[in-house]
Amino acid sequence: MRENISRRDFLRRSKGAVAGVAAAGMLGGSGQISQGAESYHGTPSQDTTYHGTQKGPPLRPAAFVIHKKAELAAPKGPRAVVVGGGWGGLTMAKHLKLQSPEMDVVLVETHSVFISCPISNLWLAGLVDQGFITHSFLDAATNNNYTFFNATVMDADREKRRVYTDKGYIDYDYLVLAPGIDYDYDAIGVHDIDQQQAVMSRYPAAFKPGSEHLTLKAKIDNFEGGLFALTVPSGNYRCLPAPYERACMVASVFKKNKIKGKVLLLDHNPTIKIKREGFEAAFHELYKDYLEYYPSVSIVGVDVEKKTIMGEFDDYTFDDAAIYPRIRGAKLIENLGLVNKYSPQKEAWIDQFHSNVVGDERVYVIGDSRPTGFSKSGSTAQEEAKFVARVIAGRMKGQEVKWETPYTSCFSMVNSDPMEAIYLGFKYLPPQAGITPMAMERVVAFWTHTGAAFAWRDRKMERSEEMGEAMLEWARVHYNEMF
Amino acid sequence: MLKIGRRAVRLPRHEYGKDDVIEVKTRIIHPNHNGRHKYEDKGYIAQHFINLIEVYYGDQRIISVDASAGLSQNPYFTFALKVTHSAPLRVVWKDTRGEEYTETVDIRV
Ligand SMILES: Cc1cc2nc3c(=O)[nH]c(=O)nc-3n(C[C@H](O)[C@H](O)[C@H](O)COP(=O)(O)OP(=O)(O)OC[C@H]3O[C@@H](n4cnc5c(N)ncnc54)[C@H](O)[C@@H]3O)c2cc1C
Repeated sequence: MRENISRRDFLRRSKGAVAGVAAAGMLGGSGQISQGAESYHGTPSQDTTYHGTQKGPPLRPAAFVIHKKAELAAPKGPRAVVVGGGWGGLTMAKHLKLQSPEMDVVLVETHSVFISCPISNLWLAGLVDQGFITHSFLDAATNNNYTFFNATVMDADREKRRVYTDKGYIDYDYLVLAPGIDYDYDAIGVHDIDQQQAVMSRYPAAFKPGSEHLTLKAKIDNFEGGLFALTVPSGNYRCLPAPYERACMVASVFKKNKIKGKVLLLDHNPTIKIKREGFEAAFHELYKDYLEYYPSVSIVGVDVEKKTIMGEFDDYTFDDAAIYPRIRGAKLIENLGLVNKYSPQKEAWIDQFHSNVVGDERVYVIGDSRPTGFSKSGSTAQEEAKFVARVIAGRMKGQEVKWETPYTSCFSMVNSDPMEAIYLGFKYLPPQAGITPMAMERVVAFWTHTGAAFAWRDRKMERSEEMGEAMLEWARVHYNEMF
Repeated sequence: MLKIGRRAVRLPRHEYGKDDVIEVKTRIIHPNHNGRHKYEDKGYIAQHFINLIEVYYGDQRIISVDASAGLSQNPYFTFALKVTHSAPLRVVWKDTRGEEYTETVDIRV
């Protein structure tokens, strides 16, 4: 909190800048100040989630500061900086430009190549080649009229409206954070940093795009036999069906190559968490000799040397593994001081109806770092990005856009010969307003365990080649949305 | 796959001695259908749940739980045990179909 800002300062700043009432909250909560201030648009940004009407995360100066400006052409209009070139960020950059052509959009991304998590399980089983899931950020930027800036965001100063990257700072009018996830190895009993490093590099989860996938692919291709352990974490993890889909795809490789090996699928959950009938049928009918499924296994440690996963009850020794720990919102969210302290997975403190940081309508968080119990999926992130691009475009014109549910469309490949998939599509009920803090975990559980939070569902649990083809088409359409 | 009745009783991984109070964890794989859930197209799933859990330390019954349909799938219970002597610790789960599952571990001091 900054208390030392004078009324005049504030008025100057708020001219055509931050929202009146919301900014009063940010600056220490004086209702008096806001009355005189010009409101950028009508509605105050409130935390409609867990805290009643709290003011949102306090402003604080950046801890990482670089005094050099990023080498970017001067903005030709209001500048939006999108952080993270994943499913959320890429869609956001494109749609900001479509919604507000006058906007100058910069996408900041650490990696220089895009590798897609969706469809990566099919690539692991050799069903598509690497080119199918690999794309160029440069094409995305050129085709959609924005700038790609290959750098890492280190910190931000929301008062100055400035983000600091390792390659210089960028001033923004709007900032959209879509940094994805990070792993939480502590939650599976791996606490020492060197042990975390060892587990991460030797048995990578491959739930963040990049090298982890390449390592996993080589492991599967070179597997000579024995037990190949895969794990399903607790909580609202990234892509609920993906660990089961991966189990099917890896088992299909063993089956095809007649490898004397089995997938050992250790699930924290009491039963297959999503698309149960479809996966259960595949496990029984296609991979009886190639897959063993163990539910209710909560992992309390990993012994890298002994190649053993310690469950609360039993120990599981493996020949090779890809260990998917619990996940949390990306560490960037925490570094910027934007974590909702009631989020069990350290996700962002946002107004769930508009996705802006509570109390700051210049900063938005989308994608898997959101606290809302939506499915952490690429298609959800895309739909959400399109909606939030409209929210920002609307607010630039002083209009407020009403909440709309994203639509999650979710295929899983379960057979590789022939290629057969299952499907689940759904929409959500509005986020729960005004619930108590303690209910957070329960709400997440409610959203993800039961169908009750879904406003609408479409299910195709009988695997078919028709769905298999539709899955590849889904991928093409969704890649096209970004590149 | 989902093997009903697969069960486990776990004593602490650390050393313990006489008169120590240890935590014992128990878990059984069981669907625990409460009879009130529906398949999308096939009507109600028949009631099938654990309705009794008993723990014996040697010959003495030390815990008896009247469980109900409200219990979760794969029910998990932990309890504190004061170790007084060496004896088998036996956990028994019974369900509404009359199945009985037993798991025994040895307490040694
Ligand atoms: C194996 C697998 C299968 C999946 N299958 C499907 C599927 O079939 N359908 C589906 O809809 N979803 C699927 N998903 C889920 C989907 O991949 C994610 O939900 C989606 O990528 C989330 O988008 P995001 O933008 O939040 O994060 P990401 O796509 O992970 O993007 C985050 C980006 O931010 C960048 N970043 C992070 N920090 C910084 C920083 N400080 N500075 C600069 N850049 C930064 C990262 O490098 C990354 O590129 C799958 C995921 C996996 C792992």
